[in-house]
Amino acid sequence: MEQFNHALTTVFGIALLGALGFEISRRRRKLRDLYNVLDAEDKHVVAELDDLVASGRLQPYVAN
Amino acid sequence: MTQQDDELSDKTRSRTRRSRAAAAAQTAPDASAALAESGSTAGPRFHFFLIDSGWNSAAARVIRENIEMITRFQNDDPLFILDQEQSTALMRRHPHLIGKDPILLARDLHARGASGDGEYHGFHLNMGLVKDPVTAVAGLRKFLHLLAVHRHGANIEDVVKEQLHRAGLKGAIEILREGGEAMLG
Repeated sequence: MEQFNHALTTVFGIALLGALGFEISRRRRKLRDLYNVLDAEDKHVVAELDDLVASGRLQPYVAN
Repeated sequence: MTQQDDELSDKTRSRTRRSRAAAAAQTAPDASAALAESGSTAGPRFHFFLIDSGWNSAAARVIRENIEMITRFQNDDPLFILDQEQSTALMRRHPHLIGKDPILLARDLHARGASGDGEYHGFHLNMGLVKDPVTAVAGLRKFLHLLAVHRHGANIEDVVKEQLHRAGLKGAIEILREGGEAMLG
């Protein structure tokens, strides 16, 4: 019986830690989606934005 | 010295003063031009871009209404706003951006390796992922705060990564606290 209790506690412990790890990673991913550093995927976007600025098709915003 | 001599010397002094003033006036624009040039060499730290295809959402309204805060708190670094057409065209070419706009993108021009060697450094705030206006304002504030506080730092990317790591730890503590509260009823 004692062995069964130990096994059950271990299983619950592992499940709890797993759930905790999953939740932390979910929150961090959500935060990373919201704001993060520019990555390889953004490289081409930034290059296009630079082109727009260099060609004069984008002008700096001037407050009214 | 005769009165005529005095008048002559007065005229000479006055002419000398005028020519000095003229020389100074000529030097002043040169000096200010040089200063402007040295300033422009240093240049702005960031180029901000707002990509907004025109979604009607709370977060979009927040960013449109607070647009001036970006330049105000970022030392007047230039902000480039893409119009709907430009934003849509960009998103068609880069579909991973769809649904994330309005996107505020800050390109760090002084970051290490950002000198035209194909490396791009900076940050993005994907406001389109935020549902409620309060969180949107908080996100915008946090983003501007982070950039303003660390704008003279050599590597802001490390700071942002550290913040994300800390947020993850904070999240873990929050989860534990919420779990504890749930268990206590």
